[in-house]
Amino acid sequence: MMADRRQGTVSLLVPFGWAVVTLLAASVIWSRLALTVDLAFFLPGPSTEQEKVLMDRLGQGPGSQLLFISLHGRGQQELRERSRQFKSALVDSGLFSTVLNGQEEITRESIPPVIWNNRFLLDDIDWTVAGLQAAFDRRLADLAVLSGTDISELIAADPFFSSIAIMERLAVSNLVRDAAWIDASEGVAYQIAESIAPAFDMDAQSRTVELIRATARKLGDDNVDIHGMGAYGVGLQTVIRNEARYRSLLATIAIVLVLLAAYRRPRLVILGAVPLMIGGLVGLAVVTLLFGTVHGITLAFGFTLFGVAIDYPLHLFSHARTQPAARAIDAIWPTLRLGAGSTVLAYLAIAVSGSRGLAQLGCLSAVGVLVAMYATRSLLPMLMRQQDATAHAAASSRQAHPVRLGHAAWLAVLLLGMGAVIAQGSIWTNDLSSLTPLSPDILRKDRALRVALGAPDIRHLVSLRSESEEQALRRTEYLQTRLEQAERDGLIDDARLVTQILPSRRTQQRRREQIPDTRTLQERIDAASAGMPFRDGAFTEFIEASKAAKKARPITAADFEDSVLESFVDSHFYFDGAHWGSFATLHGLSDPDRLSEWLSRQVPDATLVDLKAASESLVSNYRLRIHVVLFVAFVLIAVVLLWRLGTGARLLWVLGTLASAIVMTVALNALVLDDLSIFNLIALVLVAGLGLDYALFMSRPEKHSEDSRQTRHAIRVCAASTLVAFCILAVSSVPILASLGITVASGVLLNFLLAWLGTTPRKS
Amino acid sequence: MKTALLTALLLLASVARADDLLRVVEILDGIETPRDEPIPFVEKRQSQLLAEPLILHGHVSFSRDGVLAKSIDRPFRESVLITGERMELERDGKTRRVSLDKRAGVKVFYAGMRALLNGDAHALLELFDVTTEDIDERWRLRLVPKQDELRTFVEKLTISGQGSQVLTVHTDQPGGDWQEMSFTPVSD
Repeated sequence: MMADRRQGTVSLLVPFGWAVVTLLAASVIWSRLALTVDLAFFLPGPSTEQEKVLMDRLGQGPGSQLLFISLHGRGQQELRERSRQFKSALVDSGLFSTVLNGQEEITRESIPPVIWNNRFLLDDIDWTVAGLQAAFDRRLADLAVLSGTDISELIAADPFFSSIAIMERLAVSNLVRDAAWIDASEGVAYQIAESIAPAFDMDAQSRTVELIRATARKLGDDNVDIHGMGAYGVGLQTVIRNEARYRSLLATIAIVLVLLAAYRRPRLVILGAVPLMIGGLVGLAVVTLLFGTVHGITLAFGFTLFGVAIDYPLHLFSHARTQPAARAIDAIWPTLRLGAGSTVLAYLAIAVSGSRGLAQLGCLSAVGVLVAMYATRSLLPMLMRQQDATAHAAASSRQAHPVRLGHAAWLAVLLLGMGAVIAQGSIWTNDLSSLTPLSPDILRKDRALRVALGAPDIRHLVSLRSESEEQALRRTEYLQTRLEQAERDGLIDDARLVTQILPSRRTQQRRREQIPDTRTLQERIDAASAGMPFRDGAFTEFIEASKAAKKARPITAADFEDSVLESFVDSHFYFDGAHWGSFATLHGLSDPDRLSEWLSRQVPDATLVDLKAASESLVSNYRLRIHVVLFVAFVLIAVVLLWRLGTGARLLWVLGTLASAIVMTVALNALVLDDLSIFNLIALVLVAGLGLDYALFMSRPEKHSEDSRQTRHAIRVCAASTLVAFCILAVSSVPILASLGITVASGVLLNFLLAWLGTTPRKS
Repeated sequence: MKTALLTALLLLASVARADDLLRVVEILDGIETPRDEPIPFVEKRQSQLLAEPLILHGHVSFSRDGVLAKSIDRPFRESVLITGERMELERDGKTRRVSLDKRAGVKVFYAGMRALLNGDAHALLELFDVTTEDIDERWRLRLVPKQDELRTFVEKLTISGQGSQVLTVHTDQPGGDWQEMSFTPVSD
């Protein structure tokens, strides 16, 4: 009686406990989970100076806030008008610091106050009589073609046109031919808009993109094309969300069909989802608590990796077909625990592989697998009914017998796979873009647009670092003079540096001292304009402004806050907490090696950073680190297996089968996919987890032929359900999801075949 | 046909007198425009910055597709191309493009010249209130932009000529700036 009651209490307590855990996890997710699609999330920590620059600049570098917009229309006239209206709507929205459509020019109103007020300190001016004379000559020529009050006022206050010269030097795209902006034959007008929101601020970017689309729709273009990091992030968020939803629905339906076919009991299908659901929720809740923000890919990938846990209830169901569930779980528990424990080790290895994204991924799947395993152990047998067993086999107390294991299959596949891998040479890609879920087509179009519209080279920049702000600016000024020489030598077309609008204090002081006093200036103006038709007093405003500039306080980076030039200053000049750094962006760099070599002689403290090379070394170091971590995980798993299985044929067979499946998967994937990325490597960890599960179960000593039949049934169902789910992923439009699907699907098939062919079931 | 045209023009030019209209059509009909041929000009330009007008010598030409090319030979060399939307200035081998959206003065001048040289009374009356004056053998067209916004850039254009020839185009701007372009009569 007492024992029954205790049994009853326990059987109530366990489901209740799991329900509480599930609810707690759900409430944590509901209240705390924030999603991100920040592209830098899966990148590792930088180790070299170049990699550091790369990481600093990713998502906030010069050009990262630029959106390239292709507006459609018919004919030159309609396109020009549409482009004009579109630009003015974008400017009015206040979401952009700059909007360019090729129709702009520099006028007095377009010069930011910070430039206008400091124009005599931002430009080298020849204040001599000859200098003034040359300037007056040019202004007379301007008056020969331009007229109007604004031109007269501009000349009267700034006869050197310093303010115009400064703005012209900064123009985002001053190299662009007019024709590049409107292509009537293609029916496209291009615009460049620089969003105020940073590229990684997804909420703000999605508002920005929506405004662009709505504005285009209002003007009659429903198909406006938007390129640029911000737009990609927004597009990606939508695509990933849609794809994840659609593919997971399809995969779920497919798995349900497989399970229904295997067990013919809808109840079991629902029960099978219980450990998975609890594990998923708890895993996600733990990640939410540990990290706060969770990456979209962590979700998609994490649930995939953790999908290995669906095998656990399946083993139970298959073995419970001929015996009560409680006895079945006792029978399979040692093997289940060993398989799941080893898988958790591999997943934890991913968690320490070096990036926030992977840390989340490993954590989510490790916790998920662990929880699902215990839920399968403690909860499922209670929820299963006697009827769930289709037939009852007599309880057996006979000695378990080892399974006959064949070593030829795995050995042959391992040798073949290794040969294929070696023959293919380099199979891993070092392209950083392989870590972004963007399609190569989009990245190619992005580069082409940047080149066509004269945006700065986003691959190369010159980096300088100094101890102090003033020192950094002085070195940048020196770099500026050398880059001007590089321009004359034909090494580059143009360069942008912060000192073009923010000179060092020393330079500002020198320029201030060069401004003549009012009387001298008046005398020089009189001398320079002798014989010219300028009226007396025409340049009074210029004299007043010069007088004010002589007394003005030095201009600093803070003076650019809230101006249209703020993002220019921010992206070319920074303080990282210890050093002041400055970047020069380059236009028209044709021979990076020559410039790099030239710079090392001319400005030894400046480095030409090749962001692509930096990203490649970053990825390759990253992969090396993952390889090392995974190797350590493999050794750990081997140690655990050694401990549980002891030395002998079974250990050799399990490790050999696992290794051969992985090596062959790598070989096949390298053949089918162009390059393998770190994500394929991660997918291989799942393949290893599944392979371990199959190999351990297939090789476990069995008590009778019925036992062996159920094991083989379970493995068939496990492999079939995983295979259909990943085949559905393999045809996804998101490249990394597709690539993941292909890797896992092929790996599962190999795991299954090797485990199947390598064992001979006991005959009754 | 001519009645229909006149009725249309009358509707456009509600404030203009009917006899002015007839005269406008007559003058425009009579103007001969040598296309793609450089026409010598002397231009005086007065600005609030100048004590006396700047005097320029050069050539203008009008292409069939409506591009006005002006090249200054003296006192310095400078050339300008004006199309419907923009003008291009060439100096020291560099070309600068200026959108006419922000240079309404040039835009009005260009629109007036183009309508005049194309003999397009419709375009002229659409943009300007036109009055005519005849003194001896000379005719004079006074064009005042209809849009208030344009009048902030150009007060009026005064075009005078004799028979089939345009002799001067005078532009008055608010603030006292003015330009006057004189064309040397083509000898018959």
